[in-house]
Amino acid sequence: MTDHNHSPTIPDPTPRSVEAFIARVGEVVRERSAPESVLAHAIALSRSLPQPLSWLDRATAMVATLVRQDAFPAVALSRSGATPRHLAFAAGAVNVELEVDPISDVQCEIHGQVGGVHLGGGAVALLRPESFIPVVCGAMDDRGYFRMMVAPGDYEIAIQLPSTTVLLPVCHVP
Amino acid sequence: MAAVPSPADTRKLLLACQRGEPNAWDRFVRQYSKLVYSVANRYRLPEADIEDIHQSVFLAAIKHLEQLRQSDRVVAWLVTTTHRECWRVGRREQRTLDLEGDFADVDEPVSSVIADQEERQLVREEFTSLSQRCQQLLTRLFEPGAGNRPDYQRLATQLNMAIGSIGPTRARCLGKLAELLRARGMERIPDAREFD
Repeated sequence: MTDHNHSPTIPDPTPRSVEAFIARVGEVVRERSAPESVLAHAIALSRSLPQPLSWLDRATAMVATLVRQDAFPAVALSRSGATPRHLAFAAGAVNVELEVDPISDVQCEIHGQVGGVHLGGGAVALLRPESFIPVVCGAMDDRGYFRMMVAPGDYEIAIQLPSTTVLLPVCHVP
Repeated sequence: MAAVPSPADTRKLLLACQRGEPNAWDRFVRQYSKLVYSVANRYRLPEADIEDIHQSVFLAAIKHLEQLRQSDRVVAWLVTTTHRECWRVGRREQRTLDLEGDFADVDEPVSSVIADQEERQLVREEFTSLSQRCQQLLTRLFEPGAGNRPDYQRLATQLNMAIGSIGPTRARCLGKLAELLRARGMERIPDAREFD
């Protein structure tokens, strides 16, 4: 953001006068408010908010632990220059293997395999840390395999299984 | 350096918006609506344009919730976005905008404008933390046309107060507001006892 104040400002520790403080308060109190109809229009924008994941309850989800992380040579040359990685997670009887493969500077491919439990399909979602709004949603096949394309960034991965939900900790996708 | 609202509180509110928590977006709009109007009013645009700008700014905010949540400068973002919308509307309608010397840069408001709005936002927020009685009294005292010598007799009738209690109540309310603003980091606040 351009700063047009070219001279450094030295903070003035002198308390402002009561009159100056009251004048400031008065300015703010006298500010015009938007009419209720205008507020209602802006509030109605919430209908355009992406819907949160209905099946993710962070309080009851099993939080997985990263148990291994390896770099491996890319099969195809990655234009991004970032190194593909293999990550392994565990959450109780559930294990999850991820391959994070940078395709380009703006896209990364994630291959995942869920094991250790009887599957039969399920849902997978990538979320920004702490968010409930999915960035990308997908499905696992009957063998627990899933594949997703996503932009680089930090993500949590939520996995919906028949009997539980697993949350992978924040992964950096290069 | 101007004080700014607590980034942690604002991040919590934005996260609540992202989670779809009931009324979170409602709270966000009501918290920052006056800021948008305050900035837009500097351009003296027609009321219909200001209403459109208000909607455009909050539409932009809802599209950039994640960016806002990650940022510590929500007020600065809203001021800049409102400023740009005002310029866009002004150009579209080929109006010569009265810039008051503070918006000389087409792309960005000057930092002093942002600092001013950050301080105003603190006052807006902490004003609503005062008791209803204080809010009513101060609103009446500062309403347009009240001037430097408000009619205490009329106020006493409107607020069902003894006329002799208006002055001390005013002092108490302003002192309380000063304390709240000092706690939020607003600078150069008179001591609460100076309002007695």
